[in-house]
Amino acid sequence: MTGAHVIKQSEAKNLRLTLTFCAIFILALLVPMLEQVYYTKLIARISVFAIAAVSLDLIVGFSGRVSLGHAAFFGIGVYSAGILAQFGIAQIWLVMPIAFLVAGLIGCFIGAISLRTSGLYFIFITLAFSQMIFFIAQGLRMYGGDDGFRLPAATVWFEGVDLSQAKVLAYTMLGVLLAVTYVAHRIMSSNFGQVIIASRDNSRKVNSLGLQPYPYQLTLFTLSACMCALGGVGFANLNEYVSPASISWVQSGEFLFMVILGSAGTLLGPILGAAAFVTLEQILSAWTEYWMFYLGVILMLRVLFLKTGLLGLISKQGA
Amino acid sequence: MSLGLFIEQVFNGLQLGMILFLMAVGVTLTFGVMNLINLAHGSMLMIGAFLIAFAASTVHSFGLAILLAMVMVFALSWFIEKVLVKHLYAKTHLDQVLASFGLSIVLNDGVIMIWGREPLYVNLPSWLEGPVQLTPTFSYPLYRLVITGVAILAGLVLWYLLTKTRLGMQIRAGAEKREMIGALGVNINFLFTAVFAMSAILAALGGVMLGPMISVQSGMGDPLLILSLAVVVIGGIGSLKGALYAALLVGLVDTLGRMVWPSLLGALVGNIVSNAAIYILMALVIAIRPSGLFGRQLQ
Amino acid sequence: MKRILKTGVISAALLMLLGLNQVLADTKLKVGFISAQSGPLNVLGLEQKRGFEIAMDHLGGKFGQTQIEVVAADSKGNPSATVQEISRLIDKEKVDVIVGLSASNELVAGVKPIVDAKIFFIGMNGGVAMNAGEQCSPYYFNAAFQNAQLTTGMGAFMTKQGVKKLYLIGADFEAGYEHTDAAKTGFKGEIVASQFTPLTQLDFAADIAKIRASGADGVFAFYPGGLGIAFMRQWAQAGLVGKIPVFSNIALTEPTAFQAQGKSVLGTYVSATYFAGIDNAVNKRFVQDFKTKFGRDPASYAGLAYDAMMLLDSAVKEVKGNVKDQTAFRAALKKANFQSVRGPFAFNTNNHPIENTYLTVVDERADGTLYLKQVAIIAEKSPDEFAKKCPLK
Repeated sequence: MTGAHVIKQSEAKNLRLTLTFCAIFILALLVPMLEQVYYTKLIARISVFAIAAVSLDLIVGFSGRVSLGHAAFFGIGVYSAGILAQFGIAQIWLVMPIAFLVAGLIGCFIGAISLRTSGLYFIFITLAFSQMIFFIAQGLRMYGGDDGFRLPAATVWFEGVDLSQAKVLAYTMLGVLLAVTYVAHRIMSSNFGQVIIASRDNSRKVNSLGLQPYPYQLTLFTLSACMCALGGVGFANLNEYVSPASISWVQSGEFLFMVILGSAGTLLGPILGAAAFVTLEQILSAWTEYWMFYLGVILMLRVLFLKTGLLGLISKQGA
Repeated sequence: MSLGLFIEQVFNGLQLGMILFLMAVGVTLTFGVMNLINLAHGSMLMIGAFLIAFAASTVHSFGLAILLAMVMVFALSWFIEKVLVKHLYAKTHLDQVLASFGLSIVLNDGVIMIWGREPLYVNLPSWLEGPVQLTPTFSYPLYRLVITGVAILAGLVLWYLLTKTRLGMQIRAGAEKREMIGALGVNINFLFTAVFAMSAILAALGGVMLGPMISVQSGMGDPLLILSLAVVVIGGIGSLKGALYAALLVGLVDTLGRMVWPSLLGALVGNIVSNAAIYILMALVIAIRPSGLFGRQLQ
Repeated sequence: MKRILKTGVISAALLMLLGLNQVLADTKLKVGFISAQSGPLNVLGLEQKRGFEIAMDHLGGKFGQTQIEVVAADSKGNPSATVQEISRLIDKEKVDVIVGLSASNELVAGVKPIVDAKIFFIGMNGGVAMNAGEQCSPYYFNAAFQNAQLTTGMGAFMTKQGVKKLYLIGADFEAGYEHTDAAKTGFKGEIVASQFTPLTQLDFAADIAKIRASGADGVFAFYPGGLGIAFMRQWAQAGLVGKIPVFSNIALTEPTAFQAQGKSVLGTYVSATYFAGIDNAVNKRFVQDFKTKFGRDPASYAGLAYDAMMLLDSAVKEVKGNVKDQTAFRAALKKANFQSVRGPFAFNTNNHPIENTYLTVVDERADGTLYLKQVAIIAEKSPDEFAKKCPLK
């Protein structure tokens, strides 16, 4: 009797959660229709960072490893959009897949080496790789070096409709976010996902089942890199600018902040975290010039005093 | 490349190495003893530089200013450990990364709130300015030699502390094998606070010495923080000998490399490799021999 | 249910806070002042802000009868932040006109979004070649100088001083390339090396060692703000003061840097479009009030910022505050009907200045303070070289 009651409760909770997110999503769809460029761009910005945060959650929340180098994949997306545009390639159905593939190749390489380590070493080696990519981007003198360059052409859907238009950008990135989150959810609910979660919690058990976690983790890491790059393409269009600033370790730190602010291991949590981060950034910086100070305080408070992030506070899920 | 240029660059590399050593020792000790990853270490260097600028403008003796700055850093780091850091020992590495990242942001903005955005300048007493003639054909800035000397002195004091005192022995034991601390019946709280304060002082000493050479401003320690993480990895987490050798190695490789790579690989690739070389080395070490030059294997 | 309600209330509150700012906007002339307040070049932005403040003091906070509402933004010395801040100024704050920008890398990124939005932008510091040439715009007025104008004539002067082997070194960004190029023009000797260091690199040990080893008998160094201060201090520590002469423009050493650089910069030759010693009534008043408020001579960034505001004042007064009449406002700006602290000033067809370039040297007053002393006028009422590439008439 009590068992059925508990199951009903968690089903109810899931329903509540889904409804809440549907409501938020519909709200996000309505905002661009208000024709306020500033708010529309805000939605786009949140979506872009949410994509990066969701992709990072696959590694941090579900694989149980801390990547301090995800900004590199984000940057690969940014530079793909920029360099392709320099060569006259701006169609979205070319730019996104190419960014996806490039990030996949590099992500696979980095993952192959990094996933042989764990804990502190994993943090360091992902940091090292992202620094290498940062210096490569910074050293590309023909692409502006440290200054970067203006995005020569916005990514286009078709004639007259491109990502330099705030509404188009917002809806496109919301669509990508939805797709990315859905794919991530399906993967983590499948058997593949179960292996990942099991290896996070107890890898020896997984081995005793005759499975090697490594290929699973590598596949997930590669996919995470690919998804993050899609966010980068959006970011390039949002700023109409391509620069190495998006590849710094501080940016990686901010992505981690978003994941933990929202609740790691939940996929929806990081979306909340990204929204909260961007909104806080806007509100705080309008109020004081020392807004980074308060953001840092909030981060420390979250880590020290809360056992879980925003999603956990709302629905008692995640960490 | 002439011999004179080569020798001068070797000196520069050693000087960079000694500053990195001061940073890396603190990092490796906190890893080894407390299993704590601390991204706010660069901010400690920055605070050291700000405090010396502040002290030097208040008191008129440069030596007294240094002492004053060191005392203030000690007090500040003690406070930070007691209030904030000690909650992190039991937490996951992710939590430590994020909390210390948050702390570094707070400190970086904090100095702006107190001292403003204008970079501060520390003027050296005149006897420290200018070059010293080492050979009839080769002169080198006196101040850079002083920095190297002070760092070596700090290293010797540290060595004495760690090998000849009881506290030092406990720290070394803890860095080698953390479980031993409990077995030795040591006051853990005091030990941890002492280690944290010591590492902060060493970083701040680096900042105190760099201040007069470059400008003192918010975030000045962060590039060195990342480099010092590379040093610690290469030398081996928890190994002090490793921190020294790796720091010198990294300092020399970085400085001499910047001269060599462009001529070997051309301007574009050479420039990229000059900046990335240390991180390539760091990744290689982690991939092939994670315990580094002298470290122990971490679980 | 309670939780959904809670989330709803919190989100609504956040949205309201965001919207509040919009509601409070009113009908004054909103001026967006964007400068590098943080980052590697913030010495420039901070000084621009001081010049801006003196201008506001002299104007009494008004352009004639029009109240000025200032919205400040921090461009951080990096193009990515510049673009984001400009987007905020245009989309959220809905400013009427934008002034400022501190560095060439900011300009490369920042000018286009402003002119695309059909908003007038008045530059307060060195303009880049492409915006003076092919990509000039009827919305972009540079009230300061085109980069090359600042260094024009330096090459010939260095040759006159007897430099035969020149070492060029500068910061690795657009202005660095343009200034070192301008220094080459007119120089008749051998260029030993041309080197650029990252904007974030403050330790010049290796580079100074290379200069020493190169056998050069003259150095042209372009290092603005904190970079210039660090470079000259380390130059002195290496004992090279007096051994190898250093030439530059006001980026390297001027009143913002004197206290930190000390006597080591005495005798450095520096070219400028503005310096505190320019002899006219308007400048004398500006310098006097600046000294009273900030305790030292103004640097070029302050003087140029002051001039930009006075230019804006003259134009806004002429259209009686109606900047929406863009044709009239543009014509008013073009007239440049104000007294510049620099002396002669007029706009060229590409909306960049026609002005003097002065050569100064760092000298010492009787009371021990440093100042820039005029040596010559090395370019008189001259335009920049890129105007012919600009399609505007």
